[in-house]
Amino acid sequence: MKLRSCLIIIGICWLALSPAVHAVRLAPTLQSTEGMVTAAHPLAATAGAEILEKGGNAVDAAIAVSLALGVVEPYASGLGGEGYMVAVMQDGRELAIDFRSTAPALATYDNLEKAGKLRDVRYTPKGYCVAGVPAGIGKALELASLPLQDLAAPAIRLAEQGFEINDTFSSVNMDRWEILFKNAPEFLNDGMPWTAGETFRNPALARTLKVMAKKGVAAYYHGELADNLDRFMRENDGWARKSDLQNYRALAKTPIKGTYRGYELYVPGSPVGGPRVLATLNILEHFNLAIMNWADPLAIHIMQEAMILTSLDQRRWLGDPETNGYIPEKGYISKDYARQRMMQIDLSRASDPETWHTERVGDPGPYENGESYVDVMLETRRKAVIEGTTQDAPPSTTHFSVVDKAGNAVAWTQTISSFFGTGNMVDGYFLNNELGNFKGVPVEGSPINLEPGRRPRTTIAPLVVKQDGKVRWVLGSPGAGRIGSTVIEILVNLIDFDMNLELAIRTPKFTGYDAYREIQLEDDFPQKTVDLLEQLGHKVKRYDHPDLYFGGPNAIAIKDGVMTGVGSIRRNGGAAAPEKQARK
Amino acid sequence: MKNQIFRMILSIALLSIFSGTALAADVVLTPFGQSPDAMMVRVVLKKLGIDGRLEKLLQADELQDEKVLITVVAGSSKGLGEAGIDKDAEIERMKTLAAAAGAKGMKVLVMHIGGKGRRGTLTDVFIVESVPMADALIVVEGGDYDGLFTGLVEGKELQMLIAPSVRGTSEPLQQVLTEWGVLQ
Repeated sequence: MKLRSCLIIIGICWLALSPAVHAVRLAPTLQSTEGMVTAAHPLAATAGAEILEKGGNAVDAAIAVSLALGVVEPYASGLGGEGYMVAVMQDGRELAIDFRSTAPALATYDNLEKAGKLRDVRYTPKGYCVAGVPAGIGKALELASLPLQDLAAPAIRLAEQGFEINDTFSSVNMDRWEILFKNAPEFLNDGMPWTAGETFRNPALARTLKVMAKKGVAAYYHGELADNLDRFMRENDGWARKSDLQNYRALAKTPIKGTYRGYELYVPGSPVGGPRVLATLNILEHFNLAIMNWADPLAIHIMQEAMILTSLDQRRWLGDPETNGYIPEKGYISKDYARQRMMQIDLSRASDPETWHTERVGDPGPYENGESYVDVMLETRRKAVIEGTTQDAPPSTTHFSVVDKAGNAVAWTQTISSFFGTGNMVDGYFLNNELGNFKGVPVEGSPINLEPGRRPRTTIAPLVVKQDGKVRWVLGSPGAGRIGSTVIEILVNLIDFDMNLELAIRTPKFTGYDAYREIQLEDDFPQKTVDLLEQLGHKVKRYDHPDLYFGGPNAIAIKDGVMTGVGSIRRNGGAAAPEKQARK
Repeated sequence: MKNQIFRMILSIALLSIFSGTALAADVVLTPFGQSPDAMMVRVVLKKLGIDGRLEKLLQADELQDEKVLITVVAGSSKGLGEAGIDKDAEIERMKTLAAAAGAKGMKVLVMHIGGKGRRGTLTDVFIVESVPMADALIVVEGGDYDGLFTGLVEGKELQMLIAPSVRGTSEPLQQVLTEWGVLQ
């Protein structure tokens, strides 16, 4: 009898203590009414769904996913990185958290000149900007319902117990092996890259996460983790100091709202890519794309030209509003400015890249106070010129989306800039190399001149879309210079071409960005489409389809209470949902 | 003094005989597709005691008295761009190089170490071109997930060895290089 009682008690205890990972469902595409998480790694999506299953809200789950991604995708994001999140809550709260990194006090042009050029410090500790992920999590905790210890538990488990390396991890590790061999040999597998199928553990990161879980995110900026980073920087000739960490703040902001064909979009503002998504859609609204299709060369031509115009303006005018006196963001996203810009598109031929940075840069300034395009165009036209070279950001970063049962939605993008950032590892996480997103030499009037405390500009654009007041889609993507085009094309696929979410993501993507002088596109566009694009004057460069280069969107659609999650097909992503009622 | 020099020479000779190492000049490496993978193979070789010469754009007239040419196949648009060549020029370089190596009596070892993640349209073009050049083939698991390599070696007297990982290529490398007299 005693033995039986003992066995029953042991059984109950086992059930109670067994990892909650068994309580969620996982698939590349999944449907549920109980909540949904999509992320670039199935284990990170599972971590989020596990928190939803425990009763956490979308923000709780998002924090768990953020931390878990730092473990299973250490090359794309982590505690040493930064990002931006947008949350749209059912109670009416709308919040954007800017946890972009900031340049350290020693990161000045004088010091840069002594160190060489910006590209010379890119893969050294000098390339690091003060990380914002821990502070972003700290700010997000204000909307959360569970303690950080609970939310960090899945990440700690993954770091301690290990997980199987997938093809993306292996491939990225091989690509960056040379830098890692030099900067972080301790990360490698006996000096060699990790291969798919092998088990990776990160006990150092597990320890770091435990410190944060116990002492709060302040440990990163004020406590022992800050001391460790400070020591590493001093010993390795880096620029960041503990004082930079102590001065860092994540910023709570209101998301920028825009509309496209009746849908409401909530995006983050400058210095990231949200405004560009809105500005591009404002231009596209003037074209009847719905009578075309995804492979129509005219649709591609119009979108390409619109995206070039908005990227030129973004590069010239937008930057960190906290450290720049003049950022004409309202003008840039005004519908009237879009009318003026759409007149720049010649439907019969491609614009000449030689003229992009001189003749085709617009001036959104006159639209800052809601002026009409007629009034502005009757005034003297002003032209702006972009000086300096264009930057081609790396294809790293990661995006995830979460919706809980109550309908709270979170779109969250985080990054360490290049894959593996600087390639330097401290306390089990990699240091970002965001410094490369500043101008290498000061350019008068540029909003991205290097300045201590300034946040560099990047392309990330997590967003939430509402229809008739209800959340309809949550999405975003990694992919550097391709983020804007990939997000815009998905929205056009969904809204104009009436595709479902999976198809909208899967359909071949193309770039529209001023850093690329050609249209880069995934194969599987019909040959006739490519032929006509070339005839219009576009130079075409082809990639495999699907190719990670074009990003890895992780998105959720909600219709009639059913949530459909689609994990990134270009990056082995996954969708996970609480077990109750989840169905493939 | 003469005695000292003699002892030194003898020590070096004995060391190279009994340690089973090869002379640096025995192996030369070059990428086929300009990915950085050849550098990893060089590290594996070092662990086997072989200090192979690595030349990213090795030309036929730069072959010395090596016994083995190792070419590590994987296409990298970035690498090709940095090298200032295109796909066709890279194929032509390797064809000329492999022919010259054959004429000198060298063995050609083709390696694909990136698994499934290092497959794609560009890499596959190089793979198809590389296999006919090979005297032996080492492929890391996953690289032949769709049977591309298996199909290419079918009907040929060509040894294809599968390694579990990049790190795990040391065993088949040791086997092949021992058979070819580079390692003892």
